[in-house]
Amino acid sequence: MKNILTLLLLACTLSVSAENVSWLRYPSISPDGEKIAFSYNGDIYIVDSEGGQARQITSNRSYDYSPIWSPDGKSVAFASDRYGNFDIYIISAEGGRPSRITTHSSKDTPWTFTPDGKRIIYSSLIQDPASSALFPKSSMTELYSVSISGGRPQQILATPAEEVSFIGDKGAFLYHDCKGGENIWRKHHTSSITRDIWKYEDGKHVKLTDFNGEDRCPNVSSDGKTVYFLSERDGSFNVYSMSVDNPSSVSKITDHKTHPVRFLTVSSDDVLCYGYCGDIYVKKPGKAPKKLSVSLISDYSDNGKARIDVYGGSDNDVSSDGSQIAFISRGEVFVTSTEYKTVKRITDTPAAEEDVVFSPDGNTLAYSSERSGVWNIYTAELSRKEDVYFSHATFIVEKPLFKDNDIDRKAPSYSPDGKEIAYIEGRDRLMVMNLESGKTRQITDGSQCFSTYGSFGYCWSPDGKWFTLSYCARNHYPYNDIGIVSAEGGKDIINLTESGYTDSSPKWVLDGNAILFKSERYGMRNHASWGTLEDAMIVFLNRKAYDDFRMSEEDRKLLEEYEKSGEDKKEENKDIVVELDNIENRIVRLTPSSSSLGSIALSKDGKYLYYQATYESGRNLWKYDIMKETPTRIGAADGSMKWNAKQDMLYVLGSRFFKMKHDAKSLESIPVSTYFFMDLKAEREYMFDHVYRQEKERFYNKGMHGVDWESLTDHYRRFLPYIGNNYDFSELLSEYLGELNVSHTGSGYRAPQTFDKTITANLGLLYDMDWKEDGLKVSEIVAMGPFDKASSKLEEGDVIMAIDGTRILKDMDYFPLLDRKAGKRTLVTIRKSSGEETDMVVVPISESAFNELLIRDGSELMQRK
Amino acid sequence: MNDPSFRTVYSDILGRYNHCDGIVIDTRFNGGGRLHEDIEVLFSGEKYLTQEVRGKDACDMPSRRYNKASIMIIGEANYSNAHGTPWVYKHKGIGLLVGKPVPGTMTSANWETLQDPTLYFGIPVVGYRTSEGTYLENSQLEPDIDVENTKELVVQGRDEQLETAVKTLLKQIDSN
Repeated sequence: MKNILTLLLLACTLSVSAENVSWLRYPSISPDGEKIAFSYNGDIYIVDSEGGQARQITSNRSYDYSPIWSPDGKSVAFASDRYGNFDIYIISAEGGRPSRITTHSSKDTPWTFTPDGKRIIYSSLIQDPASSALFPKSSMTELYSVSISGGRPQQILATPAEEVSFIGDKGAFLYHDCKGGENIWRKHHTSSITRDIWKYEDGKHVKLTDFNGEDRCPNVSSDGKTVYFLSERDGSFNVYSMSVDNPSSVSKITDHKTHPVRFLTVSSDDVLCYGYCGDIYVKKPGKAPKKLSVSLISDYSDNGKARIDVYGGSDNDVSSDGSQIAFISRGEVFVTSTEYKTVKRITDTPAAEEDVVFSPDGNTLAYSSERSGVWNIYTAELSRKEDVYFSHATFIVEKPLFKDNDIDRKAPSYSPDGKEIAYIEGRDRLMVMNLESGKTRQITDGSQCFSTYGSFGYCWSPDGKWFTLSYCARNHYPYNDIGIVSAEGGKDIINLTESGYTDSSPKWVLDGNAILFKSERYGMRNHASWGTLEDAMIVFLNRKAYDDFRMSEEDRKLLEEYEKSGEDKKEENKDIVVELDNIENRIVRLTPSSSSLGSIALSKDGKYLYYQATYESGRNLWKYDIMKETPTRIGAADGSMKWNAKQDMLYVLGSRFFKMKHDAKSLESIPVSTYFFMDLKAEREYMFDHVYRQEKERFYNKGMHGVDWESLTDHYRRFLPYIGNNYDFSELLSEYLGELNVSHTGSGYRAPQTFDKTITANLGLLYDMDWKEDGLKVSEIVAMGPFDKASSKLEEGDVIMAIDGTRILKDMDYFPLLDRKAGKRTLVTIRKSSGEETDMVVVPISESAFNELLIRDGSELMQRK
Repeated sequence: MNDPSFRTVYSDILGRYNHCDGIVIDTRFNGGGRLHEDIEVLFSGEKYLTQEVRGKDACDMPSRRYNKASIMIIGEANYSNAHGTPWVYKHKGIGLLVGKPVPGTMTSANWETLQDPTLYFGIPVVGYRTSEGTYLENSQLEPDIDVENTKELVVQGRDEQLETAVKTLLKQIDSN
């Protein structure tokens, strides 16, 4: 009995159940129409063209996609980022170990095999011919062929051609063009940049389609007479066919609604295969399209959790006593001790927390979180008497500030007495809540706020009766002014600067008698959004503060002596006196010269200005003696600057933390090192919802271009269970955002650098792309490149025969000889026209540096013409 | 188009090419920035005075704007402010546009890094509305002279759009 039970249990645990899946992308039908290769979660699978259980062909941790079949149906080529960027690989349709076919570090995308099965046609960004007048833009790829056993690629076209499909075996083919860099997943777009289908035959390009929207993905029928393609000519992508010879006769083949048909391929007996809504469809001639039911059995590619290392963060605040720094890293709240290495993680949510601040007594933290779908404010309190610091706390009680919150509330800040919390509501209004009564009041009505980010900076005055903020006073966005507004609520903002120049980042200084801010008034103004130089400025709110500031050193000494004598001790009046008369004449420039200015701070006595400037290559902290007009460089620093309450210790809180005693001469590091685990799936679900809300709340047109954003969101959200990597996630987001039919959207993934990433260097030469012999024939030495040297022996027409001693034979792939050679002394063997060979040492450059040279060279050339 | 590239243009047109009678402004494949106002001011100069020193012409006024003829080349790959710039150029009647139509992409965006910092996405946040009440977004800008660079010729170094622009500009200069 016992034995039987064990057996049953074993049977249960070992039985595998195939899971039904979606977000099956890049399907490609085999030439005989029997099988379909596709990619799912970064691996290649093959399934019977009737559907059923798919077989996993690749299982590497890298991202494998875009499979294409060899004409004999025995192998599959695909793109994979095994060496950090997409190269082409070939694998047997039975699986096994794939071989790498291409090695250049630009992105290689395979389109088809040649009809004889010996070569693969693909797009890459390697080099335009020296003669080309085309601008060297990264979206303008070239078309190549490469042997299925690898080797040197041959350039077929120096203008972009994608989704190549051969007509017969004489070399003619169809392709769709690419005219620039708009997001490929954008939908319903009609403009000049949308793709068209072309025929290339005998060196001539003939345009077959002239619809002003997208025509894509041509596939030629086996008899070479018909072309099946995807088009948005009826509003949404569907399959169409047309005659190759008479392209004006177009028939509609499928009639899918709302969402796009993608990834069209056709078998040799004209069975169509395509993707629609994450599923694979097959359509036999004369029959209706059939959605394949696909299941698969797969291991997880990872554990779904990532270790996140934390060395610092953003949105930082320092406690009044200077003992702790609160900060945000990867959307979590942390508090570190400033004396010891202990770090405490305060929150544990996949959603974002932001804007963390300490209460004045240091016993409570306030921060915002998007965990409930809208931003709400939360407070976290130390709740054991024994716990003195958050950095060492054991038990913390968290509460939402608003229950049933249905509007964005963000960026909390405690009043100086700790009895109230200010926050931003509805993305543009400053509000205050009294913590005892729970009552709220409006400070600004949002009509003068144009922040597209849904938040803005503001500061409580030290007496708790005012706020200062930068705002757009008179419809001159984004050239903001500095204002103050009463904390009572219901009052207008008082404009202190009234300037057409941009003023920003105000903070109270000198016990609230003045406001320190930044201005672009005196510095270089940018021509194109970036590059402004700024100064630190101060505006004195009353004449007394201004007079004190203007006092000579001598008078100040006398006054200090007099006050020390104790006579005429002035009454301590903590309320700030605001005198608006003549205030424009009490604005003073503090920095000795304009610069690309970082954070600024003023010492308690107003004698020293601390500012971060970029006079040198990096940003440095300077301490400026205002009276003596002498700046002293402290050292490299970049980050917001905050004082402790006593203002004897200054904290520089960037991505790394530093502190400095006011009388010290250098910064002291506050090292942070901790880690936590993030549930990546839960985080992606959160990020999807975040994208949904941000797009809804911030899209320039309230009508969202007429789309039903809610139902589209539901449609795309249902694919999230099948998304297990960031390539797929950003592609899903791009498909989703592409529904808005708008520029400047979509998503991207910047894959982290791998240690073995291929990085092809460049010798600064343009080669003869038709050269078929040993070596690389030089058609142009690009100006200012590695070979454009006074001592250079290379002339145009010479042949590069070897790199670092390795001979470059004909057909040999030479890119590996340049892998990671940028900046390294490299020996190049040159064959002169006389036949004599000579060696030369050069320092290759990166591909991006080379592209810069080409752009400069090209514009010089055009000017000469 | 960024600050340094504007300074290069300014430096060149009022420096090394100040003796020329006209200029071709090539905006093709430009990805944007915020230069439409500067370009408008720079190329819309009209000579109103000449500085003279004892019978010698010293400088035309305005001296910090381009007072002579210009023509602009545009194309399908112009994006964002490289749509707005030729739009302003045409709208203000500064010169003719040559090339292919520019898709309507003159909209300001926030590109936001997501919580996983390897990911980002874009939100078009500021629309540009004409006095007729339409946005520039999705409103294609047509050239005055539609010329395509044929693929066969462009790879051999022929730039038919540039050739047309030069020819048209020379004709304009001659007729003035």
